Amino acid sequence: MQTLVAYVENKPGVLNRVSSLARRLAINIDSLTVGPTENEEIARMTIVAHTDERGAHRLEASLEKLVDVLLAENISGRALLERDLALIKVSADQQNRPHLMELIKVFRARVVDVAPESLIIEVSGAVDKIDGLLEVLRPFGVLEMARTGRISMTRGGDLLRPPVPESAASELESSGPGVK
Amino acid sequence: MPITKHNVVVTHAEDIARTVREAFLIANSGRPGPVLVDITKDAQQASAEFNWEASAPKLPPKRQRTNHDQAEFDRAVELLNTAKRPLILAGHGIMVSGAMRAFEQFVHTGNYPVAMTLLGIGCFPANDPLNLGMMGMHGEAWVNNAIQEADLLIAVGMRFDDRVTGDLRTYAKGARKIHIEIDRAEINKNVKVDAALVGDAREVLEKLMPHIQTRDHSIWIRHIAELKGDSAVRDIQTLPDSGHLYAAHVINDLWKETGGEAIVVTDVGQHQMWEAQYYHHNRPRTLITSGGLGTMGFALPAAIGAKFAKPDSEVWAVVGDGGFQMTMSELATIVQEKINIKIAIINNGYLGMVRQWQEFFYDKRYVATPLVGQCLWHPRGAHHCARRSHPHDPRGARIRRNGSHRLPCRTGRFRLPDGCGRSFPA
Repeated sequence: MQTLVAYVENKPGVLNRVSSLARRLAINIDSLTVGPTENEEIARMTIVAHTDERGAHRLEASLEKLVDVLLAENISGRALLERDLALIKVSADQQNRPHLMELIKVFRARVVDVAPESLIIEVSGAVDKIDGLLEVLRPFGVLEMARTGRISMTRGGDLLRPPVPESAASELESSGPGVK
Repeated sequence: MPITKHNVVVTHAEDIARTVREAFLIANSGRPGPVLVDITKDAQQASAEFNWEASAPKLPPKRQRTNHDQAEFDRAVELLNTAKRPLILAGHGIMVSGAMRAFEQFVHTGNYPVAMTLLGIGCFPANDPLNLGMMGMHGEAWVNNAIQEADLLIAVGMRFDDRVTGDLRTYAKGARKIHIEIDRAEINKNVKVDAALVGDAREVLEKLMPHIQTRDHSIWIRHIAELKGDSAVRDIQTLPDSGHLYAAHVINDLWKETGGEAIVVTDVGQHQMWEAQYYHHNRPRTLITSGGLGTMGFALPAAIGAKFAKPDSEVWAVVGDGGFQMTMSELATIVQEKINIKIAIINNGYLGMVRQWQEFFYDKRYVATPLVGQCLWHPRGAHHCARRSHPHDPRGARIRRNGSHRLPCRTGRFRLPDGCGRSFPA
């Protein structure tokens, strides 16, 4: 499993170009998340793909050839923070509810909706943690579930920022560090 | 699904100018490729102010990659300066980056023999003693044997296409490989390389030049000459006259009569490979052919384009009898625009390249490849039409006639001796 981050133009059709590329390379995507960045014209993607290092290199290099992709980088193997968020609707009656609440506490999850016959649990964290919670909830009856897919960020000073246009780049230089 | 390098839809007339400028920029940058600009009917019919400054391209900023690190570069230099049996695989990228002069210098400094891809033909003079000619499936066997025996392959602006490598499991196992290539996605794609220098061929070669030691590879070059042996003597052109006209005769005469100076545009098929083998190109961009994205029917429209781009050059379209039939409308265009193009139809009565595969790989089941009932002799669209079906037919006079004309050549059909009608060397 390989994790790639890409900065792309925030405009129609870009997701199609990215997913078509993965299809053409016959690489199965495990999860792909897109969201805007602090610059609304640029979106950030985290792509988790079922492939090896060589496949990831091809995906990375081919992604960066797309005009709408500003940067693509394989960040697998680097110090990463990975987060996934899930909403899990689980059936809960009067008897098992206290037991359920205890488990939720152990997993540092939250109850975000309460109904007579069910609860919605919100949990975020690494993939393993969510998978673990899911495992213990299964006997209670998981009625519905939604997951966001992974977002990843390299830790600490390992920055991965979108390239800036040349004119803006010179502005950045003249105004010193720390300014966007 | 787009098959172009990039594609855009324009929905507003005021975006047309900028988009077209962007399209040219994208098409010409990096590894070039076509860009489709799809202008909606609404935008076509609307009107807008045109302003050059306001229509400046606004492409997304791209990460500027440092192409290769110093360690990779040093490794390449080390390999270049220690190889005993080096060989260059020269591709189209050399011409695209305008690296012909730098390449020639590079070759002569290191004394590297050069094998070319189909699209690389012309990047290095055919008459240079270090030029081995085309490699791969349709290249000479001895060239491929030399590649198999090399201890260093220097790939410049090429992508190890399967027509070049054949079976990857056995391809050049004894050789280290250096890959000079502008497209990162091509690195280690088909063939794993020992040093990858990503970048414009000309820039990389110029950067390498000061580090290259002049070396004498005469033992290796002599060995290649031995591999070549008497294959030139056994050439189809030197066979005793059997009364049959072979495509090789036609192409070779074309080469002689045009002094090797014509721009030759080929279609796709056996004649394309015969052209690559028997027309010797000393100058870049004198062979226009469709390469990897090959399609029959390419030659005639491309020849029209070549003539418009180079009105003072002699332009020859070399076409098979199959592909020629796909371009009837271009013949009308040639007449209408009075374009001076010469056409040689290599007529062997088959979709020959497909037939060749049926012969070798499909148990000689010739399905849908014989062509019958053609009417290539009717001089529609040509001022002159000369026909040649025997080696003794006057050659020069017909090739040299002025004005647009066609030269249908009825070449030997496939009942000829083995190897005579195939587009790889006998």
